[in-house]
Amino acid sequence: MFKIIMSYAFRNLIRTRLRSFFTLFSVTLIILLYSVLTSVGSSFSKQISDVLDDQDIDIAIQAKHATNPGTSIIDSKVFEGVSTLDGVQVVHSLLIGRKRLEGDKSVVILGVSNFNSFAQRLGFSIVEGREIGKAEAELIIGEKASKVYGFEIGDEIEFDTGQMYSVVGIYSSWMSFLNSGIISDLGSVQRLVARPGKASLLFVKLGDSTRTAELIKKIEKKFPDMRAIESQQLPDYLGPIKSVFYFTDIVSVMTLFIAGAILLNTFIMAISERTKEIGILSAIGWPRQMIISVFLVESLLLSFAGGMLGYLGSYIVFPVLQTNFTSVVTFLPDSPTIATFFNVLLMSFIIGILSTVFPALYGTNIQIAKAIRHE
Amino acid sequence: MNKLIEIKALCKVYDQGLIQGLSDINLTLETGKIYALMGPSGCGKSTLLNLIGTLDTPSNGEILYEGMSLDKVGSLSAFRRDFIGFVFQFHHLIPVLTLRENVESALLSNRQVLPEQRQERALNLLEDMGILHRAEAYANEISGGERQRGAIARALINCPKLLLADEPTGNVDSKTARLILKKLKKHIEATIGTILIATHDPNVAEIADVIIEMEDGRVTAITNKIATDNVN
Repeated sequence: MFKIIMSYAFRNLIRTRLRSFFTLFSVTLIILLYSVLTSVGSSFSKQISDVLDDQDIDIAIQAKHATNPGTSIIDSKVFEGVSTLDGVQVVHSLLIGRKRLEGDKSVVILGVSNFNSFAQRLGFSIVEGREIGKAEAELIIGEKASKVYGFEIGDEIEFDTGQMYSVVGIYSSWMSFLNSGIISDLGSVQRLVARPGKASLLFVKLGDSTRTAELIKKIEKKFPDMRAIESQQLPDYLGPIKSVFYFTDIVSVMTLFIAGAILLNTFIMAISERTKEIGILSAIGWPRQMIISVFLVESLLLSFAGGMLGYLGSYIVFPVLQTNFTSVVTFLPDSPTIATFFNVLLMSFIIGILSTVFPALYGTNIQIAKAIRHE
Repeated sequence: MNKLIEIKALCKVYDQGLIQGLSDINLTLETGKIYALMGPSGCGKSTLLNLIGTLDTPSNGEILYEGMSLDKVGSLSAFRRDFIGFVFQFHHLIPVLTLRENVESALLSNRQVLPEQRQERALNLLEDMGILHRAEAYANEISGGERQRGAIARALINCPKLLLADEPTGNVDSKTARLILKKLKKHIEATIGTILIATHDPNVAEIADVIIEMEDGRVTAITNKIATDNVN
């Protein structure tokens, strides 16, 4: 029975080959997009985690009231208090602020306590000039900000506070909002944004990583206004990274809907055109579920074929992206992840079933005599 | 002869009673007989076939199958598969299946029949119909007569007790029509089944044991070839 149903379903797809081809093509493209975007998303998350791993950071601290690092304010007392806790080896600070230039222009400004090992790993690259040095009042400016505001290396930037800073380098980042920003050392940024001794995030390195849970409890007990988290969980808390996760989730749901809608449309048409056939099969004794199973097999053949082609296609797309989009190369994996493969399988299954069950149930609920008369 | 089908006060209306399809049909079909259902177009022949074949539901009245009401039937699809065979005016073969697969398809949901048995039965029937050499051809690759013989083979594969045929010779030449009728008669003799044929073809009337005449949704006469009765 299975053999005849399979062959019947397959031949039905061949019978409407042009429609099947375009449906397959659309599902393939959508799954390809899904594979690429979710792989980039998960790779982004992994690399952030790797940066934290590489830094040997165990705990990240953010103000409890803050919805994202930009609104988080951590006092120097916290910095000092955490630094003196038993088991804490080093504490790094990151300050995120917004600063007005001359006129109405404003930029995002990041103060980092260890630019070389931290910011650089986040995908920044110096495209012109050099990194910030030990001298005060130096900054590097994002590629986009440089173009928009017309700043070049050697220029002096005057902020609304009257402070002057020298541009020593121009950097590039794949995150466009950072390309519109400025990076300087922590002390300079604290002065610029008038938050002396303040930070947005603290990164804590412990002498013994196995004590992470214990130290998190200690920190939160000592500083009830602070939220301490394991560094591995940081990507879930960081606004921009969280946005990437949301984006990935939205892409997944949209992919599900778009591919589902395409298949649904195909099968509404197919079932409507084959009403007479449904009537004949019912008349010769096919149970309803057997007729539905033919449409399900057709749909699953298309969704799985599209899913696999889309997934395999991403193996071709990644090298092309890496060759042609060097600015995003930092966060691009070499190939789609295994997790993506299983997600594609699951999505193909869900899309295949959901897009066919309802039209098939509706199509087979017709009076048989009426179905046979259908033209 | 045993009563295979008993039809009692059967009515069918359409459009909320505006159109009377069938009214007050009382009929008995006995096993081992060929019935010819005759009458002008639109008199209700196909409607009656559909109701007997469980493809449609009556507005009133009931049909008993070997004395049993349809209410007592668990699965209508299994009942159709095991009890009834259909031959339509147009062959209605599934275009993407071969002739053999089309014939087999009527037995596909019967798990008691093994695939090998199913295939053997299909091939035997195709041979009997003289189209074994076309077994692996698709419907669009064979002639109209071959398609109709294929459709008859499909209707006979489950050895139905009742074969319902709606103008089975309506779209074939006279030679094929005679062949089809010969095969149907042979089937009835072999299986002691019953055939009800809706037709305009006088050749069908010739082979029928009983002729049922209809007009305006009513049975106007029943002519038994041996003894003639009038009803209604």
